[in-house]
Amino acid sequence: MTESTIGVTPRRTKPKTSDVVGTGILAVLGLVAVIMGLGYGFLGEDGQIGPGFMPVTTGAFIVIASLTEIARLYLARDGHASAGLGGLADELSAEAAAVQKSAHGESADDTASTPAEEKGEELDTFGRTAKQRARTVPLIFAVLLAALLLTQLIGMLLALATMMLALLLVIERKPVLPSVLASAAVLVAAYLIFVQMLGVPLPQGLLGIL
Amino acid sequence: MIDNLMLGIETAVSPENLLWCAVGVVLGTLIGLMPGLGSATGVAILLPVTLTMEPVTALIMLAGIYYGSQYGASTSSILISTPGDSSSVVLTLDGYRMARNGRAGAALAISAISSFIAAIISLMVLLALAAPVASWALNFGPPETLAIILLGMATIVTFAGENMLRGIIMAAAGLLLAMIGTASGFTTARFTFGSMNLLSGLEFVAVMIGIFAIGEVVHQIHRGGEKPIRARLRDLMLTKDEAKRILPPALRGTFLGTALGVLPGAGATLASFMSYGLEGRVSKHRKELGSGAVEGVAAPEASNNAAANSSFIPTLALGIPGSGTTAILLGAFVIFGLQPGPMLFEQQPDLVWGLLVSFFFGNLLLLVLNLPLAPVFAQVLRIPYSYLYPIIIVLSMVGAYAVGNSMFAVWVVFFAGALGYFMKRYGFPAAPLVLGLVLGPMLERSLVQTSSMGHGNLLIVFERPLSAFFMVLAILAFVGPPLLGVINRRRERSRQEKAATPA
Amino acid sequence: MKRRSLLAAGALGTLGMTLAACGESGGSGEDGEFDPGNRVTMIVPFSAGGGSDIAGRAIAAGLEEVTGSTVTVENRVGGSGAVGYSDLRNSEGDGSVLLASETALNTLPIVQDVDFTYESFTPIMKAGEDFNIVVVAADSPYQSISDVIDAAKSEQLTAAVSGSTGPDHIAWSLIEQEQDITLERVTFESSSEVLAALMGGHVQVAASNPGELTGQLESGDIRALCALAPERYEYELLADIPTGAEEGVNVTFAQWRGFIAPGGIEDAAREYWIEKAKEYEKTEAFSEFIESNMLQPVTAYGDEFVSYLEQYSADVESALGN
Repeated sequence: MTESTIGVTPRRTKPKTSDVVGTGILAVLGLVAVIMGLGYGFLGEDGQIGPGFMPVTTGAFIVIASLTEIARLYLARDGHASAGLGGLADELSAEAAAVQKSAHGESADDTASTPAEEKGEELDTFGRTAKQRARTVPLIFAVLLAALLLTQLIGMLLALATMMLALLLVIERKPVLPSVLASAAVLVAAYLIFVQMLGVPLPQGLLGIL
Repeated sequence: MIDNLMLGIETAVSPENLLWCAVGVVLGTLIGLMPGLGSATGVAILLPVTLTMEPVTALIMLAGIYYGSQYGASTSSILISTPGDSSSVVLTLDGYRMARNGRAGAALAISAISSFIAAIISLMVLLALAAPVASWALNFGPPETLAIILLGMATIVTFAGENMLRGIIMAAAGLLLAMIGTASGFTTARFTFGSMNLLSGLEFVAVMIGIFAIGEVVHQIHRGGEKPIRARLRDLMLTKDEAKRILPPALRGTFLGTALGVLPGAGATLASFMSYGLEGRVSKHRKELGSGAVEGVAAPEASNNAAANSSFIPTLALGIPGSGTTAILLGAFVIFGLQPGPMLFEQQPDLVWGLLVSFFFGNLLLLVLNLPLAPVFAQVLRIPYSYLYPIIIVLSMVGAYAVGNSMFAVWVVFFAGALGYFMKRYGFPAAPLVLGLVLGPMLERSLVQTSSMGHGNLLIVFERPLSAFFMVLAILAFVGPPLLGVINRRRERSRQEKAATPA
Repeated sequence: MKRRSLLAAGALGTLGMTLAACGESGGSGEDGEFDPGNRVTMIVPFSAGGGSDIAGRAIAAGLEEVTGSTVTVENRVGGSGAVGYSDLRNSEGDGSVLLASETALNTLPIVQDVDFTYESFTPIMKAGEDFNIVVVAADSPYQSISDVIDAAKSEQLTAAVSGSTGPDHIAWSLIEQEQDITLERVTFESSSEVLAALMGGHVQVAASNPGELTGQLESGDIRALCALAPERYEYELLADIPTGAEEGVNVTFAQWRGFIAPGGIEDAAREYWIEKAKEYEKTEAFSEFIESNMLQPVTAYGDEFVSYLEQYSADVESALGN
């Protein structure tokens, strides 16, 4: 709640790369939607709305809005994070800015984490440095991917339990016994709830046990 | 009405019915706690279990699962930002923030209390006005629905956050995602790239779990995580100030939810988003919204529960389901050889009123269960995040699978998770995207239907009084805030100039 | 005091439920010639609670009774049914997997790019037909189907349909072709939404299965104009409704329900299921299923079912194929 007093933070003249790239991706998506949408048919036979109507209008809107946004990112001068509808709604957006910062923890956390990253060695609640963290994220997605691929082989519950064990042992470097116990407990709980109580036919894989 | 009430009480308080009502709400809560498992899945999955029961008892239990799972879904939204239902997505904003501020117990209590208030009030409406309200709701055809959805979309401004334009773009991107699959009213498969799994579109629940649950988990790790919250029991209780702030937003939410729940198909999700949007406009504490405001929990929670209850109005009185879950319940009626509709009230009054009165006991039980349990549930946050997040991932994946017994949904969670992570990391807001995704199919459907009804002329929305009314509201909601912004800025500038001149 | 006993009751109930569920998944059974094994899977290609699910579960329960095997219903949701059919395709040659099928088997290959047709599978039983009944709102000016057709010749009428490839949509197309009229379609998601639109006066006519209409017909909120069936219904509620032919509209169209097995199964397996399905037709459970859904028990097995599907696909093709 204290963040809300920060309100509008001064902004660099040069926009953040992520903002430009992200908005650019959206613009491209919008363009793709317009092109594909035209292929689906914008209007039907007798001037009625066709299957392409929504894709084209929505896509076109995204293209225009994203380009406006990118332009704004470059043109926005220091001081104000003036935003929205061509800067028409300063007041509301400033108000929302405060809200947003704490809501998703985005901007607020960015500002909070930047100093930490600069210090480098400072450990987070996981006991990791910023550098280690940067490696952890792709690693988690890799483990998750492996688990999903493994599902075909050993079944979903076993694959996910193995994944949990891997996350705990390899990524979180937790002691072996608690990790095994925790994974086993989750396995049993998920089995009881989903398979026994709800009767969900979870994929059993080639092993066909769980 | 009193006779009906007495008849209902007589039926509902039989030991057997009370027991199964209790079983229903407890099971429902449990199901709702699972990521991705909401009321619709819960009722559908447990429907076969009830087949051997008396129809009244079975329906009482199924209804118990319905509102029980809404409580559960809210709890998991608040504690671990993992909504079980689209109608509890909004709680990942303020509810989750409150939990992260160490007020998890309070957030859960607020959610339980406002749900209860909403349930009781909407139940009164249900008892007193089911038949007339239901036939009034028939006046809402496609053009009216279209207008209401546009009005709902106007509320995204509240969710758009710091950068309003970006929020609106994200909402539009959500609409685009919603267009994947066969277009409503046509057979054209869009953006499916030959995939059969995409023919009926992206499973909404899977996208939601991916973006919110997985995205949040990975983002936490990227940021270095939040400390486990070791709040003392005392801190988990509701403070006086918080308690005082529940009622007004809960009442507003109840009103909105009851009204929208009656409309066939409009639903609890729209109600919860709109009531949050409404708080952003009218609440005294609107500046706190998004940072863990009581109103941001109470209003949407009240409205989604009220909507759930009032969706029974068209279901029972007309045989037309008011939500996805009541559609499944309608299927249950048919299995039991009952035909909902006006005749049901005459032919089976004990069943109808017994069912409705059982809502009262069910909700009371949920309140009684959830208030003391709130601090207990909140203990989940004391689990070190290193242990907590793998559990969230496992349950999310299994939950997503269970919705349609489809491995494809699990892959959707995976990719949506990656998307959600990047969105969180680079500050692209998720709530408008989800709003677009939820409203997209409804918007397009009603647009196409309106176009067919007008033989290509969309302007019939302005020719029909009801839809014209909502269209005007929607336009005001879109244009109003920026306009006010301009006026205020002008005023501000002239004031500054005035202040500057003497100095 | 009260609270405690309620809590205890809840806990007890949960336990009982879990136990009940445990018991269910472990039935036993034995048979003679072809043995599908103890566990038979009935795929339902739509989500739980819908019409296909209700039919699938009823058939599964009936087969369980006559085979002694445990028939587990699995909802495989996605692709408007395509995912479930595709899963069945992947079980080619497996006589212990079945699928509760309906019109989507004919429509999907025609309107969507899917890798199967009815010929990819082994049709076993058509359990019943669900004919469409043309309805209007109670206060509609139209008293008969010919009123509707006359009106459609001079003005644009709107007909509500559930789904853009649904049986009602196909039925209207056939009527349009026969009577040389055009009706504006307003597409809804389900027959209940169709009824809401009809009762609210947002559309002029609709057609739906009797099972979906009973409540509103009984209450008088809607009126039936004609049944697109070869003969009048015998159900009391529907007996007074004239057939289309009586009113000069020679169109009959039904949604069928039944079950199919994967392609490439042994002949013995096919015979086994046809045999068991015929036994099922004679049971109490079957008549109950037919009556509670107001179906017409026009059954067909094996080859006869295949030729029905052939004709049906041709009808669908002419209505949707443009």
